[in-house]
Amino acid sequence: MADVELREIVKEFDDGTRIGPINLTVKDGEILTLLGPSGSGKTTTLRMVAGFIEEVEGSLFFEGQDMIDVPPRERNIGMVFQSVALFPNMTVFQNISFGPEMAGWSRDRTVERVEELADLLGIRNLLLRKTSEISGGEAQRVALARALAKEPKLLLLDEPLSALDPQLREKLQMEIRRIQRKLEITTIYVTHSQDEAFAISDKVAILDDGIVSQVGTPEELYDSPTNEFVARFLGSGNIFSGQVVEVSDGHLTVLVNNSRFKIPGEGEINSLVKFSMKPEDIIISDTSVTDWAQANLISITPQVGSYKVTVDFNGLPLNALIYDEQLVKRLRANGESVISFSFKPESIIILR
Amino acid sequence: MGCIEDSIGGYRLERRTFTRKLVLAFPIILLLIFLVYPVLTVVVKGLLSDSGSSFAEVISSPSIQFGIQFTFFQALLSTLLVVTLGLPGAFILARLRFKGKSLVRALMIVPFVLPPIVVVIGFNQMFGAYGVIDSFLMWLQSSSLSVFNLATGIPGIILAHTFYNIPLVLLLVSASLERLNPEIEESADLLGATSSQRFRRITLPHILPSLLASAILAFLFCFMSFPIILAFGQGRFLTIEAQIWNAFRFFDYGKASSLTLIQIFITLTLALVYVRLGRKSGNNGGATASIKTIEFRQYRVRERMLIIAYVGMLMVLIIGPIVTILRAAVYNPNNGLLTLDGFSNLLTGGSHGGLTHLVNSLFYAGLATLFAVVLGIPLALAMRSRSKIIPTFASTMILLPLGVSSISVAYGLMLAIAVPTGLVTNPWPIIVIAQTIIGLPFSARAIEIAMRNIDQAVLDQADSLGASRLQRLLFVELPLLAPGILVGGVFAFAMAIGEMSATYLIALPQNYTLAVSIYNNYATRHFVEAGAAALILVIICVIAFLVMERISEGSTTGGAL
Repeated sequence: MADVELREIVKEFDDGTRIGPINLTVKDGEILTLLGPSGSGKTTTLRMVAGFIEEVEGSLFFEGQDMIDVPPRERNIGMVFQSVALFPNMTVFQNISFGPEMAGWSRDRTVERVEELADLLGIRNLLLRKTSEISGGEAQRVALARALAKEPKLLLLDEPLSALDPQLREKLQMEIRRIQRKLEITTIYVTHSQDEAFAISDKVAILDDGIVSQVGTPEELYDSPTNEFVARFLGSGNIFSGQVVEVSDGHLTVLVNNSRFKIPGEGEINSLVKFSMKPEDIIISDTSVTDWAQANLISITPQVGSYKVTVDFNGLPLNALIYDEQLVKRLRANGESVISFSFKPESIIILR
Repeated sequence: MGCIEDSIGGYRLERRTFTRKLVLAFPIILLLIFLVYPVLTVVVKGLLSDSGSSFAEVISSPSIQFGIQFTFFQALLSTLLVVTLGLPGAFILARLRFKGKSLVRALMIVPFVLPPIVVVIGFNQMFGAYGVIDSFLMWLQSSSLSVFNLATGIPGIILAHTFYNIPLVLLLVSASLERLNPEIEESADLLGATSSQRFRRITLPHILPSLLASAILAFLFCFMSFPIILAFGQGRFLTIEAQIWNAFRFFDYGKASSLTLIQIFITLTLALVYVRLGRKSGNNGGATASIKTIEFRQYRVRERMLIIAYVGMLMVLIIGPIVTILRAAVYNPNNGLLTLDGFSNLLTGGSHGGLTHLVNSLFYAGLATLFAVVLGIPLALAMRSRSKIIPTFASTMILLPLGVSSISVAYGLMLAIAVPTGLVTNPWPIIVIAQTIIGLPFSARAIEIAMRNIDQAVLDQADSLGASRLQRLLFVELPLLAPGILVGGVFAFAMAIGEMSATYLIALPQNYTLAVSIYNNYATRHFVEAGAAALILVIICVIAFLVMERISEGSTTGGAL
């Protein structure tokens, strides 16, 4: 198990695409998730850590040792691929024991390790099966066992659950988390699903166009995104952008779509400001309230424990969550009508 | 009322399915009459041997035993050479990134449609006495006599067979390599396997079924090879196929039938193994889009040298014989002069003139193509039929020519059809039948692939929009199938016009086709006449290839193998 550090990692491809510079630290026993939309460079970053991409600039430290010129085979990494990539000509046992065998472990030690992992993952009954005779979820478990078998220092998981159905995915997320905690193995996880990233990670790094946009715990990212990309990607997309028209003792008045919003902050008059608001922080009223902004109701969608209300604020779609059933009834009765909305100033997140 | 209407509807439906079944069964019935019945007749004759040598005499004869041994020996040696020379090429084709890759892949089909007798002419011109290499060596040594000749005897046979079958290994094995998920090899890498361990434990087991399948197919083709054996073996080296032909020529039907029986037993067994393997190797899913390819400049210098040497060798071995046919058409090695006699012969009519043979070729191949397409459509439908027996029957019929040699088919047709019907005096319909049987698997396969690619939802859409069965067929199905039918027809035409073995056994002099006359001219040292005729066949095959490429855009041709 090891601390892993990516320092100024850069890769430029022949077609001009560029990944990096990437700076990331994963502490011993921690699970870090690379999260981002497709094409943001998550998988490429992971493959650079694995060593599959050549001519990479920068440094990659495992326990302080630079691995950038070390071939994949000698990096002591375990990896689970999106396609699972079990060896189809081998049994489950042979798949799991492949790593220890290549490392020259004794037969006894190999068998012991395989059985230990099989028990941990609940696949003991599958050991003699062929890989074509097991289900998708079982294959993922086998792939995880195979990756862990020779006790690697680092575990890489490249969207391992994306091909599974939602219920199984959730179950395996928990299982991966449990095993990762138990083995205390440093792990880098790649996914494009926010739910999955938040469910599984100690830390999440949001990637945007080959660059790390923000790193933090799931709570930090959700509660205080530092830029528009992260706010849009993680949140509801309630992004306001407008001009500062008044500055007064720690507050700014911003003009957005002809409505004035008073938000806490410092700034200069006439400068542009962007801020975001989480859906649960928006307050909605079915009657006209002075000083509140006006918007048109578009839809009300029931969800578990709340209602998602979408409104049109002069061309800017906004999402709000409300919990008041009476309010929903009144809104529904009014039909497509004008509503008023507001928010607590302290719930505003100013974006850079 | 409702009851009566129902029964009428039911009656109609029954009638319709009966007609449908009849249409589907039609080609199968024809194949039973013209393929299965003749071959069975031959086999029974072989066992009973009512005329000529008996089965026991045949199998205990030393010359026959030598022939069987030689057949195995040359096929085995050719296959070994094909696999050894083809395997590196398959890796290069799969892993090297270069422009025009799809064209190279498409060109692989050319040697396959090239008539064997044309290959003989090309080989002779490239590697034979007074050929391109020989002429160069003679010039080097300022000799006026030939110093180098590989296009004869065992080396000629083996090399020509290698030429023929290397594309098979290249296509099948490289396709299999492309189906290998690169993440599997990467997993092996990460788990600590060295490149040789990875090859032995992961890559080799993956390509083994396709490697075996292509080896068996190559072995089969070499085992049943006839024109190449006839031309390069010069009577000293005879395979079973050549011995059947010989025995038929000397009216020893007992011997011919016994030999056919032996050959069919061996080839059908191999064909069966091939089909089994094919099923196994086809199960690994489609080509992965993410296959890792490497550019030439990314290889190390030593690897680059090896690749260049290998590609150079392939050029000499495969492109060389095809290109040098141009020289064969105008260069007369008998006197060392350039001449257009070969072409003027092609314009000469009469029983010995090339024009008669050309007309015969076009007429027979044209008719055979027509039949192959007309029968190919219901046969392809039969393969996809939902009934239990019909598809099995249809696929068996399509695979049968793989395990029954052309000479066996021709011999069976002569014995079982021509003799009883009196067609022996002018057996041209038998030639057309034989060429149809040889072309039919290719047309049916191409049409079947086109059918497989039609989206069932499109047909359902036509139904839901109110199209009648006939309207659906005319306006939706046939236009969608047209490219497949055309590819199948062109393929069948190429196979028919290049066919020499069956035609040679059946034909009387007035029935000689271009392919047969090439052999006759070659055997009587009329090299330019042979060369010019070969050039015509090459041109026809290249046009056929271009048409197929144009229509299918590289998707269906490989599959027709």
